[in-house]
Amino acid sequence: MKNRVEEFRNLNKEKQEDLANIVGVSRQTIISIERGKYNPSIMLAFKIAKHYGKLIEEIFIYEENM
Amino acid sequence: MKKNEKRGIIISLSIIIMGLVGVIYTAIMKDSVDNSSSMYSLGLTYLIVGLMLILYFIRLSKNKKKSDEQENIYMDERIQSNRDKSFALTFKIIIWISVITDFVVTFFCRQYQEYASSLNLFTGFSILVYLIVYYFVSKNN
Repeated sequence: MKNRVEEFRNLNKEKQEDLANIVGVSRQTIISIERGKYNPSIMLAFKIAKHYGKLIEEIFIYEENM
Repeated sequence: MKKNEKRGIIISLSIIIMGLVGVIYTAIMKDSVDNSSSMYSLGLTYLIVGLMLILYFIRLSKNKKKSDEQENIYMDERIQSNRDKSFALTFKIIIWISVITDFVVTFFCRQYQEYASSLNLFTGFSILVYLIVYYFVSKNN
């Protein structure tokens, strides 16, 4: 799954730490999500999307592995 | 004070009490207890570790920024998921090691048969606990 978390975070001029504190996770988790190493739970994905005022699918892009 | 700090303080207090019991018991009964010096040092270690932990949690509860950071780390879903995966993997590894050791001992090292039966008991008990836990977990999911 691809995501645009880093892009929206940069648009909002936020640090990884700020986003981590807002959505209640560690900075390391934000780093892992941005690098595509970790797929967040649906709850966390909703929190991130809600924080940026977007729909989940605008931030997290599902890709089927063929 | 946050929930994880309260829990930490309760655990630290339990460790301190265990240490105190060990130290006082060996101090009183040192003539009638074998290995009293090792029991005394174990009690003392518990006491020191408990005190260090309780100091850490008290200091943490007074520092709001650090306390919030620690709570985020404690509640972090990635860390929780990694913890769960590690537990599950550790359990699998232990069960497989036990099963393989059981097999080897039963068929190739008959002189260690006694150890093999203890290991069988441990493996069987672990699997039984796993099945019971699985039943309750799946009931709620």
